[in-house]
Amino acid sequence: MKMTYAMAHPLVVASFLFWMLILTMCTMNPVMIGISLVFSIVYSQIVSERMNWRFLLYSAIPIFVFTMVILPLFSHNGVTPLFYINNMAVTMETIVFGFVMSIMVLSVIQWFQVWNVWIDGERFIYLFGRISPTLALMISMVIRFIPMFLRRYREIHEIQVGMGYSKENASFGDKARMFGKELSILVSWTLEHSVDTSMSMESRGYGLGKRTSFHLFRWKKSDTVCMLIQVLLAAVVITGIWMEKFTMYYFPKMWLKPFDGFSILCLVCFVMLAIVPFVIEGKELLCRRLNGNR
Amino acid sequence: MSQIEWKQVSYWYPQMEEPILKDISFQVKEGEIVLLCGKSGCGKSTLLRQMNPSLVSGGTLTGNISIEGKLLETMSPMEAVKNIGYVGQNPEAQIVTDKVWHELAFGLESLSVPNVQMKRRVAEMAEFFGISGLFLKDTNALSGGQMQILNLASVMVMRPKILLLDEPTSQLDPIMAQRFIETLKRINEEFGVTIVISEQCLEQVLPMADRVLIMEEGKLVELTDTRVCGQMMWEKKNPVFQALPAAMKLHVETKSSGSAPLNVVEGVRWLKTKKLATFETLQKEERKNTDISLEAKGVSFGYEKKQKKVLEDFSVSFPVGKVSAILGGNGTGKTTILKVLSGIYKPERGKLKTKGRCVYMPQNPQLLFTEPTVCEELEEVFIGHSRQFGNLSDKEIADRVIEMLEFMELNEVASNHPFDLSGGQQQRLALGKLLLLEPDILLLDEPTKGLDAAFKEKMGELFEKLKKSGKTIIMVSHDVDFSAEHADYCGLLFQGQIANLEPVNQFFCENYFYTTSVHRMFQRLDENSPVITCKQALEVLLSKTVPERNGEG
Repeated sequence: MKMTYAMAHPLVVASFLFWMLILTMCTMNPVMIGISLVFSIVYSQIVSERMNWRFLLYSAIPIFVFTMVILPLFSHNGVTPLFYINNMAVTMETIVFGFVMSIMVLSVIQWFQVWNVWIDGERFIYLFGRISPTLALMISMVIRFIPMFLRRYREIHEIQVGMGYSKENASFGDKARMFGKELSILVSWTLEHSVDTSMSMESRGYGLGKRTSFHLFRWKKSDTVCMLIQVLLAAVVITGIWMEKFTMYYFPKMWLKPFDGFSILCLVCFVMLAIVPFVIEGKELLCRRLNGNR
Repeated sequence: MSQIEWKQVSYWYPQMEEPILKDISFQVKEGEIVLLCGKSGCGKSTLLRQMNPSLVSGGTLTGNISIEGKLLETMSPMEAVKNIGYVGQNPEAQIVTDKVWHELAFGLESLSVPNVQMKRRVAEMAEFFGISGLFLKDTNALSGGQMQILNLASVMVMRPKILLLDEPTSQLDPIMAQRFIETLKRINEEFGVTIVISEQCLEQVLPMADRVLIMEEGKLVELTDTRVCGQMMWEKKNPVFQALPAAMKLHVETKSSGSAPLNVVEGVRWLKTKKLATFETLQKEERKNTDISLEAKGVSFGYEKKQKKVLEDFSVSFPVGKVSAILGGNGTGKTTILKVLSGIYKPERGKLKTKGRCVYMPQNPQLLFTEPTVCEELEEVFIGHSRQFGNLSDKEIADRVIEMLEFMELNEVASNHPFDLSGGQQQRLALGKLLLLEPDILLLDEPTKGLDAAFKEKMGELFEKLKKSGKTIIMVSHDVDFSAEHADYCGLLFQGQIANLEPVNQFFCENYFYTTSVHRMFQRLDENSPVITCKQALEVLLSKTVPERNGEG
C-alpha cells in the first residue's frame, strides 16, 4: 500500500527513518527496542506490495539462532547458569542479551526495508545531490547502467545461442570460455558506447562550472510542520537516553533501571514519533472525506 | 553576415600524414539548414565536430573557423557549450542519466542554473517536444526514436544558436525519422536555430534543407542549392546520388529540364507532364510451389506470461534459395520473429520446421566481434565451434578464412581491428563469420541499418551471390527501397501475424503506404502501374514502354 507520508519531502521521510534507526540502536532497553520492532514490522508490511512474512521469517531465524544458541555456547558471562556443556556454563544472561540483540537487529533490518521503498532512486539521488551533485549524477548513471548492462548481456548471449552454442552439452571449460567471450563483447560494446556518452556529456558542458542538481521536490508548509514535530519528539527521547533513563545492564546480573515519570514521557514521545506517518495518513483521509467524497 | 565561416581549413588527426579535411572554405548564413552529404568515411563527422570545441581532441588544424565573427579558438568553453548544440548517431549512448527529467536538466546542471529556473526551462522544452508524458519515465524504457527526440530536447534546453547533427536518424525507423526531421524543421522555423546536419539517407531530409554541402574524400566539392544538388552529384558521379529522393534521381537521370522535384507530390506533378504509355495490369500470381526451407505453423510467443503475446498464431513459410523480407512498424516484434525462427527463443505453441541450419545476425554486428583483427575474427569461428570443425587441418582453416575474406571483399582490412571498420565492412565481417558456420538459412535483422547507398548496393550484390549458392535469406527491415530491389518475397507483420508472403512486385504494387516512393508516384498516374523500383521507372521513362516484369516470382 502506498502511504501518503511517502510522498512527503525526501528530507522529512529520511529524517523520520534516521531517528527511528538511531533511537533503536542507541539503547539496549527491551521496551524501546520492542516498540521499535513492532512499528518496523507494521510499516514494512504496509509498504511492501505483498505481505512479506517470508522475508521476515527468513531473516529472523538465522539471527535468533546465532545470537541465542551459538553465542551463549562461547560466551559465559552472567551469574545464572541454566545448564552445563563440557563443564562450561550456559547462562540465562547471555541468552536474554542475545534475544534483545536479535530483536534490535531484526528491527533495524525492517526499518531498512521501509527505507528501500520510501527512499527510491530519485529521492536517494536528491538526498545525496545536496551533499555532492557529482555523486548524485554518478548514482543516477549507475542506476541506469545496471539494467542496461544486464539487458545487453542477455542479448549477447542470445546471439551466441543463435550461432549454435548450447549450454546443455557444454563442458565446464566450454562454459567458462563462452562466458569470457560474452563478457569481452559486453565490455567492448560498453566502451564503444561510453565514447559517445562522454561526447554527449562534454558537448552539454559537463565539468565546466560548479554543478547544480535538478530535482522535482517542493518543500511544503506541511513538511515544515512534520519536520518540527519529528525533531521535537526525537529530542525528548534523546534527552531521556542522555540522562540514562533507559540504562539496562545484562552482565554480570540483569538490572533494568526502574521507570520514572520522565522515562514514561520519553516512551510516549517515542511511540508518537513512530506513529507520525499514520497521523499524516489519517489527516489525509479526513481531508478527502471533508472536501469531496461526501 | 554569415554565422559560420570556414576559411581554408585543413585538419590532421594526431600522427596522421594525410589530412582528413583538405582546404575547406564555406559560409553558412543565420537560420539556414545545411545538409552535409558524402560517402561514409569522407570526413563528414570530423567536419561537424570541428565546429564544437568540446568534441575536438588533439590533431592539427590550419585555417580559421569563426562563429558569429568570433574565432573558435578564442571562444571560452562555456560560450561554446551555450551556443553550439550537438546530437550524434546513437540514441542510447548519448543518454547519461536514469530519468527523462534528469536527462533534460543535465546541461543546465552543468551550467549551474538554479533549480527554479531549471524547472521552467525543462518544462517548456518538454512541452515543445511533446514528451511531457514521458517526463517521469526511466530513460531505459524509451524506444530508440523517443530517445533521440529526448537527446535533441536536452540539447535545446540550453538554447543553442547552432545545432550540429551527425546522422541523427540513421538508427531510427522511417516513421520516427520523419518525426525527428519535422521537429528539426520546427526548431529552425520557431527559434531561428541554424542547423548543419549530415545524413546517409536523403529521402526525408533533403526537402527540408536550404543548401547542400557535398564532400568527397575530405574535400568540399560543392555547396549548392538543394534543387540542383542532384545534377551536381550526377555530373561528378558521386555515389551519394543513389541516396537522393527517387523523384529527383529520375528527374536528373532522364535529363529533364525545369527544377528538380524533391518529394512525391512534386514528382507526380512532374511525371504528369510526361506522356507515358498505359500500363498492363499486373497479373496476380500465386506463389509457385517451391521447396520450403523454413516453416512456422501457429506459433505463439510472449516474453512474459501475463503480457500480450508478441506472436499470436503466426504462420509463414519461406522458399528455398530466395530472399524474403518481412516489413513492419517498430515494436511489432520483427526481431522476436527472427529469434523464434532461429531457435533462440522456444515458441510456446505451434510448430517450426527447419530444413538445414539457421543462423541469426543481429542489428549490431559488433556483438559478434571478440578478436583484435579481422583475420583472427574469422579464425575464431573454427576454434569456437571445434565440435563442428573437429577434423579440419590448420591449412584448411586458413584456406577457408582467405576465401571468406575475398568473398566479403575484406582483404585490404584483414589486419585491422574489427571496431575500426566502416559500418558496411563490419556488417560484411559479421556475415562472413556466420557464413563460415555453413548455414543454409540466414536470418538478418535490419541488414541495411545505418549503411550508405554504396554499401547497400554491395549488400544487394552479396545477396545475389548467396542466393546462387543456394542459401535462403530471411530479413526483417524498415528499408522499403532495399527490399523492393533485392527481395523476392515480402510480407507485412502486423499484430503478431503475417498476412501473406507475396512476390515482391505484387506486394509493393498492392500497398499504398508500405511501398517505395517510386511506386507511390506511379500509382497516382495509373492505379495498376507495376513500377516499384527506380530502375524500372527509368526504363519506363526512357523507353516510354511497359517493362517486362522481371519475373522471379
